[in-house]
Amino acid sequence: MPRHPYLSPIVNESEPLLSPETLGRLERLELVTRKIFRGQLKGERRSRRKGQSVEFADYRNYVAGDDLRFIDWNMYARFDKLFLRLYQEEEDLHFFALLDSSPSMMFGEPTKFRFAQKMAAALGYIGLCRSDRIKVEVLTDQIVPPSAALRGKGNLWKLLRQLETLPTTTSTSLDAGVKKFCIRNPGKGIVVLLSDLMDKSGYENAIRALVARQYDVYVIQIFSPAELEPDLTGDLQLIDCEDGDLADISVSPRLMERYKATLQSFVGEIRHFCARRGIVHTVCSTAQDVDQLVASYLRSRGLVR
Amino acid sequence: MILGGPWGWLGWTVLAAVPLLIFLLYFLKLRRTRLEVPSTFLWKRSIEDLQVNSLWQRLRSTLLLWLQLAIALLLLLSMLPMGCQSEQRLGQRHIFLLDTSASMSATEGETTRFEVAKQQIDAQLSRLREIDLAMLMSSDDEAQIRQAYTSDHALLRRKLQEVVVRPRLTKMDDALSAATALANPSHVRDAGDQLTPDQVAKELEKDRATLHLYSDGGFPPVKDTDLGELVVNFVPSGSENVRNLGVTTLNAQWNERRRGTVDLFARIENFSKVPLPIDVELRRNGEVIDVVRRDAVNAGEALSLDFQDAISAQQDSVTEYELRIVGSDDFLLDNSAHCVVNPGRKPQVMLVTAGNTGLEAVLSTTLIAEGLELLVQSPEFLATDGYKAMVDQPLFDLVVFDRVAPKQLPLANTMSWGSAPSEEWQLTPLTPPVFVLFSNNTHPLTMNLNLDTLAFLKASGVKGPQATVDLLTANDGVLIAVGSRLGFQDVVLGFTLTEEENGNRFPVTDWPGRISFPVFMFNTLEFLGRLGQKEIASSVRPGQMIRFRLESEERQLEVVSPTGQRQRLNKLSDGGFVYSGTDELGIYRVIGQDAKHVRSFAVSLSDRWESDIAVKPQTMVGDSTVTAAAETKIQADSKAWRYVLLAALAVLCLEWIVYNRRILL
Repeated sequence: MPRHPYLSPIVNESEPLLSPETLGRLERLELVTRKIFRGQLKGERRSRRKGQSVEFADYRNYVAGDDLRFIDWNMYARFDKLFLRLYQEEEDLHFFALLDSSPSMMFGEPTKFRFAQKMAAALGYIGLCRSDRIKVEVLTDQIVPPSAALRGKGNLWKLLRQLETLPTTTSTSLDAGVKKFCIRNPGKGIVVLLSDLMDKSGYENAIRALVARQYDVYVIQIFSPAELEPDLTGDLQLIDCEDGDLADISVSPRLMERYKATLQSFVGEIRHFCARRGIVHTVCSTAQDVDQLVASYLRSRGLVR
Repeated sequence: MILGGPWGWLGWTVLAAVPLLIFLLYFLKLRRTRLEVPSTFLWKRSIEDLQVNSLWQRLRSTLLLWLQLAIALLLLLSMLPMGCQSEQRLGQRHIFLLDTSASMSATEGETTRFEVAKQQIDAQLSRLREIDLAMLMSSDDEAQIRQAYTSDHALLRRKLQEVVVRPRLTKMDDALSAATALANPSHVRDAGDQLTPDQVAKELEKDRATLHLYSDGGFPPVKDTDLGELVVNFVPSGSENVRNLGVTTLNAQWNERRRGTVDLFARIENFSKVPLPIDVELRRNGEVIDVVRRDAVNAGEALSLDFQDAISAQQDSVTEYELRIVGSDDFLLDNSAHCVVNPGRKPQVMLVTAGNTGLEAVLSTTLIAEGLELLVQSPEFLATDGYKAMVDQPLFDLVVFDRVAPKQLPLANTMSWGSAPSEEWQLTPLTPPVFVLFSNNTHPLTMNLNLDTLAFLKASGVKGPQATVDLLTANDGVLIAVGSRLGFQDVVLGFTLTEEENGNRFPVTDWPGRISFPVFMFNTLEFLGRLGQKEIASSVRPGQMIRFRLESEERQLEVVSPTGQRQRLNKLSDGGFVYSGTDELGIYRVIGQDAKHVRSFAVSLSDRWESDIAVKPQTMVGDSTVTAAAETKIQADSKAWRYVLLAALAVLCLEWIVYNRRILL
C-alpha cells in the first residue's frame, strides 16, 4: 500500500540525535520548572526546603539544637538576638521525557518520532548538565520496569542509547500509556509529553492524569509538514495506519481549506485545554531545527532558560 | 421536431442512456488511490459536514463530470438528424449520377477523371444538410442504383467508394429515365386530374430533385426521356484539351478471291485538338506481322488501314489478331482492338437424289468428305416434316437437288441439277447441239476453270430472277447461273449428269470425266457450303454475352480472361455455351479438355463515343439541352462546430488520460 511520499517513514539512522555543536549550545541552558519539587539527591536546583547552599533564603529565630554554624553573628550584634541564617536547599530535578511511539509518529521525514527523540535528547542533555534526574520513556500500556534515571553529563551516552533503543510502534492509546507512566513514576518533576495527540479516544484524560500527579507538564505536539500543509490531489482513500480506519476524500480546495481549519481548531482546543491547567502547549513541525527550537522557542515558552 | 436516421427509437434510447451511463460510471468506476496516513482523525472531522449532501457536494466540485456530460450531450445532438416537419424547412433531394464508363478512366494529370468525379461527389455529400436526402446512381451501359434515397450521408460516401470504373460504353438512357421517374412520381401524374394545380405543385415540390450528373458527356443524346421536374446539374469531368488516338474499328473477313487469306480493316481516329503521329502494329498470335507509321494525322481525322494475312490452313488452329497503337496517350483502353479466327464447323450438306453416282462419287472424295457432313435423301424426303423443319430453320449449309424440285426452298444455299428450284427460275430445253460459248472466270465457282470444251447431249437454258449471275453460257442459253435469295445463294444447272430413258442410264455430259468437275464441286462446297472456312469473329463490346457452339462433345469448358482469371462453363441444354463475364478488354481463350485451346473471342472497346474523350460542354436529354455547370449549387450546412466538438472530445480524452494516471485502475 503506497504511502504519501511526505509520510514515508524514512529514518536517517546515521544522523546523530545531538551534534557536537548542539551540545555546546545546550550546555548553557537549564530546565525550568514552575514548581519546586523535593529531590532525592542534592542537586543544583533550589528546593522548597531550606538547606545547605550558598544562596541565602531567610532568617529565623534560633532554637536550641540548631546548627551553630548558621547563626548570623552580625544580626546578633545588631539586635542582640540569635537568628539563624537559612539557605535554599539545592536539589536535583526529575525530568521525564514521555515519547509517543504510536504508528502515527512514524511518518514524515524525519519521522515525528525521530523528531521527538531529538527533542528528548536535547532537553535531557540540558538536564544532565544541571545534574537533574533524566528519564526517558515511551507511552505503553504494558507492564514494563521503569527506565533508569540518568544524572550527570557523563551519562549522555546512556541517554542517547536509551533514546535510540526505545521501542517503537506500540499501539497504545494516549490515555492508557500516560496512566501506566504515572504508575511507574510516582515522583514529581517535569514531564514533557512529545506526541501528535492524534488519538481518536482523546487526549484529555491523559493530560488530566499528568496534571493530577502534579507534574509540571509540557506538551509538545509534533506534526509533519505534510500534516500541516497536505499536498494531496485526486480521489483518495485514506487509511489510518493505527486502526485501519478508512476515509474517502476527493481533494478540492474547499476540502483543503476545511482540513486546515479543522487542524487549527484541533490545536486551538488542545492549547485552550492545556492553558486552563497551567500546561504549556507547543506545536512543532518536524521541518523545524531542534537546536533552534530548544534554544529560542522553548526558551520563550519557559521550559528552558 | 422529428427523430429519424437509420437507428430508430431503440438506437436513440440507447444513445440517450449514454450520459446517464457516464454519470454512473463516474462513481462506479472511480478508483481511489489508497494512501496510508498517520491518522484519519482530522480528515474525518473535515469531511463531516461535507458528507451532508455529499453527492451534490461532490457534483458541484466535479468539473470533469460536467465536462463529460456536456460533451456527450453535444455529440448526441450532433448525431440527431433533426428537422422540423414544416414547409419552411424541407430537405432537398439530390441524385448523384456517376458515369462509370470506359472514357471516365482517361487520365487527368496524376489521376483519372473518374477519381476526380468521385472526389467531387464526396465533397458534395459532405456538404449536405442533415435533412437532405440523396441517392447515388452509377451508369455505364447499364444503370445501377447504388444507394436509394437516404439521409445517412456517411452511408452514401461508403457506397461511393465502392463504385469503380468499368470498360463499358456509355448509355445514360436508363439512368436518366430512372432519375426522371423519381423526380416525377407517377402518383402525382396519375392523380393529376383529382388534384388542384396548387396541390400538384405541392406534391411535386416534395419530390423535386436535382440530378447531379458527373460525366464527361461522352454519350449519345438521350432521346425519349422527358426531364419534367428533374433539374439536371451537369458537372463535366475532364478537360477538352485531350490527347487521344483510338482504334474505332477492326473488322476481318475472308478474301473472296484468295483462299485462306483474311482481309483486316481498321480505322484509327485522332480525337485530339492537334495533329498526332501514328505508329500502329498488327500482331498475329502475339507476333508483329505488320507496321504502319504516319507522321501526322490531323485533329479529328481518321486513318483507314487494311491488311491482308494468310492464316494457317490447320483446321483447328486459332488465330488472334491485335491492332495496337504504339505509345501512350490520355486514354489507353482504345489503343488496341482485337479479332480472332476460330476453327470453323463442318458444313452440313444434303443431297436429295433418286440416285446419282457421279455426284455421290465426287462428294465422297477424301478431301471433301473429311471436310463436310453429307446426308443423302431420296426425293420423298421433301414431303416429310424433316424437310419442313429445314424450311423454317437453317439446319444445312447446302442442299443439292438432283432432278427434283422442292415446293419450298430451305433456309440454305441450294444447288439444283436439271430442275428449277422455285417459280422464279425457269428451265427451257435447248436445241442440240449445245456447246459452251464462255464461262465466268471471275466468279468463285467457275474461276480459273476451263469449261469451254464441255459437251452436252441435252440441256436446258436457265433463267433466274433479277441479279442472277451467269456462270456458263451456251450457244442457246445459260447453262449455269447463280442467284440470290434472302441471303442465300441458289445455283441452278440446266442439265444433269445422267439421264434415264427406257430404263437405260446414259451420260448427258462429259463433264464428270474432266478435272474441272471436281474443282467446280469443290468451289461450290467451299463457296456455298463454307467448306474448310474458319469462323471469323469480330470483337464484341465489353459486357456483351458470348454464345458459341463446339463440334466436339465436350460438356465443360474453361474460359481464361485477358488477365488470367478462369471461369468454368457448362454446356447448356441446347448444346451451346454462354459466357457473360466480358468485363475485360482483350482476348478470351476457351480451353477444352486436355488443355486444348479450342477457340477465342475478343472484347474491344471500338466505340467513337468512348474514344472521343474530350469533355462535351452540353448534351441533349429529350428536348432539353443540358449544359455543363461551373459548380454545383448544393445548399450546405456549416459543420465547423463539429470540428470544435471533436476538438473538445480530444481535450476530454487527454484530460481522461492525465486524470487516470493518478488513479489505480
